[in-house]
Amino acid sequence: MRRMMLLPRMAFTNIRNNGSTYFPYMGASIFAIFTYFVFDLILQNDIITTLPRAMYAMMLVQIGFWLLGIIMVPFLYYTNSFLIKRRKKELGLYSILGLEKKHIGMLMFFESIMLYVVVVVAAIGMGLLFSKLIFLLLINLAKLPVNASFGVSLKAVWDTLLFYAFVTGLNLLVNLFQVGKANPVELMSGTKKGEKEPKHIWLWSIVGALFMGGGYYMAVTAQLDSMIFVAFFVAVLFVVVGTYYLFTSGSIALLRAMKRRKKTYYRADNFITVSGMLYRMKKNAASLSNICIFATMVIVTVVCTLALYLGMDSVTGFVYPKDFELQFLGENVVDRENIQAVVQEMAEKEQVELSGYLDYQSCTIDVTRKENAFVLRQTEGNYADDYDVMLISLDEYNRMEGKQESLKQGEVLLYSTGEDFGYDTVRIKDREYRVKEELSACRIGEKEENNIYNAYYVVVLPDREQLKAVAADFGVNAADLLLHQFEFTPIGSEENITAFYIKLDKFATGQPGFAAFSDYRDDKADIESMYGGLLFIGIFYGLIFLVCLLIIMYYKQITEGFEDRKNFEIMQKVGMSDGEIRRTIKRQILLVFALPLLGALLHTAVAMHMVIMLLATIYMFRTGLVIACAVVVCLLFAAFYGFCYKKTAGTYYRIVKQM
Amino acid sequence: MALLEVKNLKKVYTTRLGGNKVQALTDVNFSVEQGEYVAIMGESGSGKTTLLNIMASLDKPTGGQVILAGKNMADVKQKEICAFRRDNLGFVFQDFNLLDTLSLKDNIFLPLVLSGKDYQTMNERLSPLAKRLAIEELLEKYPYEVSGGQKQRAAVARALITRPQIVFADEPTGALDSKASDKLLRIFADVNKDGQTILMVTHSIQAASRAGRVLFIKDGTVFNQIYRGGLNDEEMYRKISDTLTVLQAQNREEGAVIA
Repeated sequence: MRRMMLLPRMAFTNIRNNGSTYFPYMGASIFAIFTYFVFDLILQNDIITTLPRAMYAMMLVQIGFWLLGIIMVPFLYYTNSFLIKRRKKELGLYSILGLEKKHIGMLMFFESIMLYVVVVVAAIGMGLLFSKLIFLLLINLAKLPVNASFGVSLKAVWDTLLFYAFVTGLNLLVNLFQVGKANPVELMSGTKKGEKEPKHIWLWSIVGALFMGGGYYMAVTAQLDSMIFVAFFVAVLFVVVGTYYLFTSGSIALLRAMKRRKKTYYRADNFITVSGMLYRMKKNAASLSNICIFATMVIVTVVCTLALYLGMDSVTGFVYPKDFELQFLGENVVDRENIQAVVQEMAEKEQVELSGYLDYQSCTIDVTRKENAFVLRQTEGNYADDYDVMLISLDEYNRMEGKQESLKQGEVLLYSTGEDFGYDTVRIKDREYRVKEELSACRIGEKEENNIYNAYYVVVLPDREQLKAVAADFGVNAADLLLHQFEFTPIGSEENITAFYIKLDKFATGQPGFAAFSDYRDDKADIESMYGGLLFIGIFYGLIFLVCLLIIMYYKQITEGFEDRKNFEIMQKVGMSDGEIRRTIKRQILLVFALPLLGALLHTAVAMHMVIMLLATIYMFRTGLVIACAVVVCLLFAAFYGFCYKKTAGTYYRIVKQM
Repeated sequence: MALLEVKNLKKVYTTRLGGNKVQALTDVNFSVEQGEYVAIMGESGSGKTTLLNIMASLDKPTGGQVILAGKNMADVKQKEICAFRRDNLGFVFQDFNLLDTLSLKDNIFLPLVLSGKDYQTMNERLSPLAKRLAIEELLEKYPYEVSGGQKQRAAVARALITRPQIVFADEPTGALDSKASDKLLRIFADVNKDGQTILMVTHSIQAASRAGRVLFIKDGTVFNQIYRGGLNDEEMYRKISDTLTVLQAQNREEGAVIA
């Protein structure tokens, strides 16, 4: 009976005594599993049926949930490998003291069980405590009605238990395998062996540089088209591979070069640092590149999230400038004064205010742009060159903008909602016009330089006759298809606006030439829901990446602290003063920390173009805002990173000084 | 004047709460002349290591003085003590204490690098030493690639390269097989012949029998000392062995009295 209790008790003592390595692992696991559980809980709620608009948000949470599972397995595996490395010596000692392999196996099994229980209980407990709050955060971000009900499902608990059991089982298997194949002596000296310096470092440095250069090139030259997501993932992959090889081989090449320069190498401060780093560069570089990549992920995720959060209103405003759009087709069918009067009267009655009231007549043609020429829409070729061109006459334009522009025959005003047109003349099929002025703003639609894929042109022609002629060139009969659009955003309570909508709809459908009356509030809500989902994922992913980063950093310092302890002890005996040791440590840690940070900042800078493009695919066109966010986030991150550096340096120093 | 003088040295270890006191050294007096080769013997717990640590300025005495080359160690400022140790003392340890991160050559250079010598000087000092210690071929290797005896010879080279006033050796043969021990001891004798002062703490009669003088420590004080005089190694071995027998006999008697 007592013997049966011995192993579990030993397992417990082991975990407690190895707290400095186990507790961070447990903390990271708890956070990871907590996030997993909360995502699952939210997904298990049948919100989509009660809140149809939540669909986009939920879809994104679903994707985030799967990705989370995929990311977590290698991360927890990686953390585990630190743990087992630290414990090999102890396990070797048990083995020498007479514990058989199967006993050690049992011991590790009990340890895993205990870890499992602690992590799962804490994660699920915290999940139950905070899930409602987090759910409200999601609802809030997605601008969904707050009265949504939230229940706890047993299925989520079950999923989570299984998922972590899978991860724990995997790690246990790996540990058992590692311990099983090694003999006690190997275990005892497991942490001491110096790593062989890798061969062909120049070759690998070049391979790394090529990959990184390739990734960078892709990122910088990325075009906004259907391949952008593929390009993004390939570029990320290239940069990850490139970072890894450059950190491993590149750093070794550099260190060797430093070592070859005898004059500088044999100086007290360089000597220990360079030799020490060279000694275990391979492992060192692996964790350095991991830190670099995680740091980049944290920065990019936070930049996107922050930019989305701050830019959300402008996005919905850009896609749907006004909530209501009332459209009539045909020349001279609409009495615009009459309609305006009716609309305003109805609005007043329903206690709704109208903002941004605008009406104008235009005619839209489909074209393909070839440099400065608009030609008939072609079925082949790059669809990025296909544009809508909105034709509008000068008097309409002047009326809309309240301006007194004048145009001679053969002159036009031109406006692009995307990139500037940039030519002095424009050829529309066979007609050549001089661009009198390229407008920088127009009430019809906001301009965003980055809006590449749904930008359109507005061409202001001298008179209605010219408009008809141009439209006819493109097969559009302006007499029938002249569009008269009224647009405005009603402001008021939800019910009043709906009542207003119903009344106006009834009136409008009876009018001659009525074409459509659109209420974009739902569509806006869909976008908001999607954005909310993205923001939500962004917040949690930012946190998860940060936790990964911190844990890697921490283990790296601890592992190396223990490894270096003996070395510094020797150096002290050989005549190195406390001050010298402290200086050396500072230098070493600074180097180790500065490299990934610099790498991450460089990655981020290069990635900015691509990030801007990606955000543009979801209508987030505010480049200035994105860049401002990036600068702020980089600065904050660097400060936070510096703080971590100080903390870890302290821990490392304490470990080294325990001589 | 003696190179090293130890006067009335005392060391009391106190447990942290001040409860238990252990008298490691009660009253140690001896001196070492320039060019001497002295071995200190004693059983485990007799205070050998404490004595060595104090002489090497790694530890502070509770009372008494250590005077090295006319300089009282207690007067050396804490700031300068590292540099002092580096420049005046050489160390050889039982477990070698070589850095795995450095090649043997760089290990040997370490103290010189720390005192800021230039590369050329270091090389000039190294080549005769390496030749003498038969480690020329091994200089570019790393400690984990060579045998214990080779490691210890590299450690000796590290101790000698600073041209120290005195070399302290703490059980230098403790981790070596008999052949490697023999080789190392021959090197010590050789180096001593050239005028290097050596102070060695050891358990091994074989090691001690090569020294010019052997001090026996017991219960924290110098119990006895024997001089080589004209004796050869074997006669010295026997003499040490006899002394130790007497020592142990006394121990038994004391034990019997207590019992």
